Amino acid sequence: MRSPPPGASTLLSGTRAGIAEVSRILERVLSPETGLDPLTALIQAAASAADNPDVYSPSSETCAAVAATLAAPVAAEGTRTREPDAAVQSALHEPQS
Amino acid sequence: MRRQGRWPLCDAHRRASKGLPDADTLRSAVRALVSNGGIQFDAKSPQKTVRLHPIEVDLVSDWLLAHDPGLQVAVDLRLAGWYREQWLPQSQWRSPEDVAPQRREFHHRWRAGDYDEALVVLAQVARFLVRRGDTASVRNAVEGADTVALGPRGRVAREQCRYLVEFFAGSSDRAETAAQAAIDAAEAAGMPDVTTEMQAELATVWRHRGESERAIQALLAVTEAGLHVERQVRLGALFELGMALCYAKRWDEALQAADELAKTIGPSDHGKLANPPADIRALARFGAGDYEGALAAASEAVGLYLDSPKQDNAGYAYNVAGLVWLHRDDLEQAARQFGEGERLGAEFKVDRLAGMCATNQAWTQLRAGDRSGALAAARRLDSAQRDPGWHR
Repeated sequence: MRSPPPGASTLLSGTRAGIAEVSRILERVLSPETGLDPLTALIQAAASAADNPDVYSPSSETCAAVAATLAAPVAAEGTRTREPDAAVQSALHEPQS
Repeated sequence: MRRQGRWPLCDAHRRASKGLPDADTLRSAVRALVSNGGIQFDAKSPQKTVRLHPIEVDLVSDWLLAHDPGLQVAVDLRLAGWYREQWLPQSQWRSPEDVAPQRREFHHRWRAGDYDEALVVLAQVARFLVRRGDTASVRNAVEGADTVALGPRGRVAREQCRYLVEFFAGSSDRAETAAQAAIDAAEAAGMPDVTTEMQAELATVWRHRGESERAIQALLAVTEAGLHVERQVRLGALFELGMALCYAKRWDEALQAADELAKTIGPSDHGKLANPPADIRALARFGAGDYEGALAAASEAVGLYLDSPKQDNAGYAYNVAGLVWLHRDDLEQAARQFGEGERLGAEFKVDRLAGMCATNQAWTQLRAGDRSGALAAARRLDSAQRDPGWHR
C-alpha cells in the first residue's frame, strides 16, 4: 500500500482532535453536491476540535445559525451567499465558557 | 580559459599537498594560484579571506578524491574545524544562511568519515533547519546515517534528527518511536541531559496526540527533578508543561507554570532562545475568558517570537488572537489574525500551524456568511495534505 505523504500523516495523527477532519467536514458541507445535512456536519466538525484549545469549536447554536446561512439559495459556488444579518449575528455570539 | 589554468593549479596543489606545514611551499602554491586566477581575495571579508574560484574548488576536491583520499580526509577535517570557528551564536539565527557553517562542517566531517561528530553538529541545527522548511536535508542525512556504523553519540544524534523530521513534517507515531529511540540511545551513551531533554520532547508528542495528562506527568517529572536537570532543558519542560496544562484545560495551573517559567528565565538564558511565558498566558487567559489579557499576551508573544530563531511560533500567538476576536464577533480582526498565522505556517512549512489557522479561518468565513471564503480556507488545508512537496 502506498504510504501517505508525510504532511498528511502529521495532520491526521499529529494533532489533537484531527484538524484535518474538521477541514474535511467543512469542505464537504460547503460543496452542495455532497448533500450533507449542514447542521449535523457542522456539529460533527465542531466536536472534532472540542479538545483542542487552539482550534475553534462553536456551540451547537452557532452551528445551527451557520447552517441556516448555508441553506440559503446559492447562485454558484464561489459567490458570496449573503451578508450575515443581525439575528444570525446574535445567535453566533458565544460567551466563552 | 579556465581549462588552461588547470595544470598550474594542480601543480600548485601538488606542491602544497606535499607539506601543508611547510610555509615556503604553501607560499609558492598561493602565488601560483593568484597568478593564474584560481584564487581570489575577498575584499569584503573583515577576516581577509582568500577563496578558491568555485570551479577550482571542485577540481581540487575531485582530484583529491580520485588520487589522494587520505589527504582529502585531512583537508575535510581542517575545513570542518575552520567552519566550526565561523558558527554564529544561536540567538542570532534567523535564516538558513546563519547556520551555513554548521552545514558545511557536517558535509566535510561526513565526507571524512567522521560520522558521529558530523551528526552531533547536524543535531544542533536540525530543529532550526526543519523549522525553516528544510526537512529534506535533515531527512537525507538521517537516511545516510542509517547506512553507516555509528558510535554511541552518533546514534543519539541520528535519532534526535529523525525525531525532529517526524515531529515537524512526518507522523506522530514515528516521532514517538524516534524520541524513544533517542532516549534509549542517550541512556546507553551515558548522556543524562539528552535523556531528559528527549523525555520532554516525547511529552510534547503526547500532547499533540491528545494525551495531555500523560504529557503533564512526564513533564512534572522533569521540572520537579531538581537542579541536576540542565537549565535549558528545564526551561523547555516548563514551557511544555504550561502548554500541556492548557490542552488539559487546567487554566490556573497553566498560568502558574507561566509564572514559574518567568521567574526561572534569567539574563543568562538568552531570552530570545526561550519560549516566552506570554505564549502560555495567551492561550490560558483565552481559555479562562480573560480576552483582554489574552490579546495582550498574544501581542507580546508575537513580538518576542518574530525577533527570535523561532519566528514561526508567532503564528500560534496570532492564532490565539484570532480566536479571541472570533469569540468577540469581530470577524474582520479574526480573519486578519488567522491569515497572519496561516502565512507563517506556509512560509515555514509548519503543517500543524497552517492547518489550525486554515480551519479557524474557515469557521470565521462561515460565520461571516462567506461560503466561498470558507471553502477556499478548507481547501487550502486539504491541498496542503495532498502535496508532499509543500512539506519539504
